[in-house]
Amino acid sequence: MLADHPDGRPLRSVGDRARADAVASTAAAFPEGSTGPGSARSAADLLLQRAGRGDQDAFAGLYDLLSARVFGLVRRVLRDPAQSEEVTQEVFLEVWRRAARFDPELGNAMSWVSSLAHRRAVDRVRSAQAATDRERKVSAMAPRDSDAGHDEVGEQVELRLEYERLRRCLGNLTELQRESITMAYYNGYTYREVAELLATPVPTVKTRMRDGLIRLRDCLGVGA
Amino acid sequence: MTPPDTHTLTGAYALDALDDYDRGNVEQHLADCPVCAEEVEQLRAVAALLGAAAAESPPPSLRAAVLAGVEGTRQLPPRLASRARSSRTRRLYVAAASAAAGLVIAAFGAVAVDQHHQLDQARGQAANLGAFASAMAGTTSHPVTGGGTLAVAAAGDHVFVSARDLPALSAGRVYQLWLTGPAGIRSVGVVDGRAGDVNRLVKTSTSGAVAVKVTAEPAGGSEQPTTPVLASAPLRA
Ligand SMILES: [Zn+2]
Repeated sequence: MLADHPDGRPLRSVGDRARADAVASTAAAFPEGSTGPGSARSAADLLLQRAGRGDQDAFAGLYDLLSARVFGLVRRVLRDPAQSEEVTQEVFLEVWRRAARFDPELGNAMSWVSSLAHRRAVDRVRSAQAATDRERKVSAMAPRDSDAGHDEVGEQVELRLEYERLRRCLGNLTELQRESITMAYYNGYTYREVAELLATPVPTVKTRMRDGLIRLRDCLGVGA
Repeated sequence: MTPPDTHTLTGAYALDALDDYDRGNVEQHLADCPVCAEEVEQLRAVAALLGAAAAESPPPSLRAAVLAGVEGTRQLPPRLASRARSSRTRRLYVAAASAAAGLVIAAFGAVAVDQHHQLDQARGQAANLGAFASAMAGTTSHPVTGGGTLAVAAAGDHVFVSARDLPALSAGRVYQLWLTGPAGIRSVGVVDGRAGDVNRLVKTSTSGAVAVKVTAEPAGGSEQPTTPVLASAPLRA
């Protein structure tokens, strides 16, 4: 859970250079695009569209831009590093296969890739559910084991800003909203499981997930 | 057919916190409710930001593995039509798909497949079925865990099931198709584990079926699914 992390938990990533290169190459190919610093989002859209036309360099750029997000998210849900690598690889292959079907009218690339990654991770964790049920229940309640101390590669400024903003906005939620959302998203529980774990009625949890996300949306300024 | 409180499930849906049954209901509702569809889009973007907060570099070796994997991986073609944004447009697609299903049924009369182990006579009609499948491809397509997509269209008491780009299973394994609903789950066919693409016309007979699901099973198929669901496509009448 996010709240468990001390301030300043380092966000590790592939580093600024790879992302800057990806953005720069996109900017070169799409001079009309708004690809200045801070618009990894639109850079990802353009790279994904180019990948959809079979452009492997664009796909490599997309990987550099999004691999830390995908791997981190998958690992957050699955915990096991080896499985997380496997699923991350599956996710990117799926992104490659389906790239031509990405429609920027229907959502941005980052959100598209994250949804795909999350769904895969959740499917994986649920298919192994019987074996790991107890472990998941324990882990949901405990702080996630810290990764600090390993390679501190560098930080993406944009991720850092998003993270700070998110922390602040999560702080505006009620505890039940925050717990319902993070247990579902980071641990892969269904809302019925969350209700059971929190000893809260199922309809309440369902409602808190929705109104909590709406409050986050408004706080984060996620537009229509 | 959609339960009345389905619109309150958008949050749980955006978090992937639904079981298959609820998810089927929500997806069915989203097809007809642009307001909820818009909300889901926004809440998914919020969820993506939650995901970004967990960012962590993968080992550098993964990059080479991913890029090498891409080298030999065929891409899916663009959709014939982009997913309908408004429910009105979507209804037109569904109507067209249903009409096509009607034609297919009329043309093949009793080709309907409603049990295990049948139906490779459908191969002969593959060209026609394939045309119908691509007509459908723009409207309903659901990812299959492990790769590929699943699309369905209902017409009367038949459902046309089309799966594309299914990865080959290991020897002795088959894909199995299921119809699910409040009455339970019922097998509607077994598919060769190496078929890749498959088009099937399935008789629903009992009313109330809400989704077609796919699992991988031992050769010959199973009475009930014995492995996790790989794909689920809600039926829209
Ligand atoms: Zn609605």
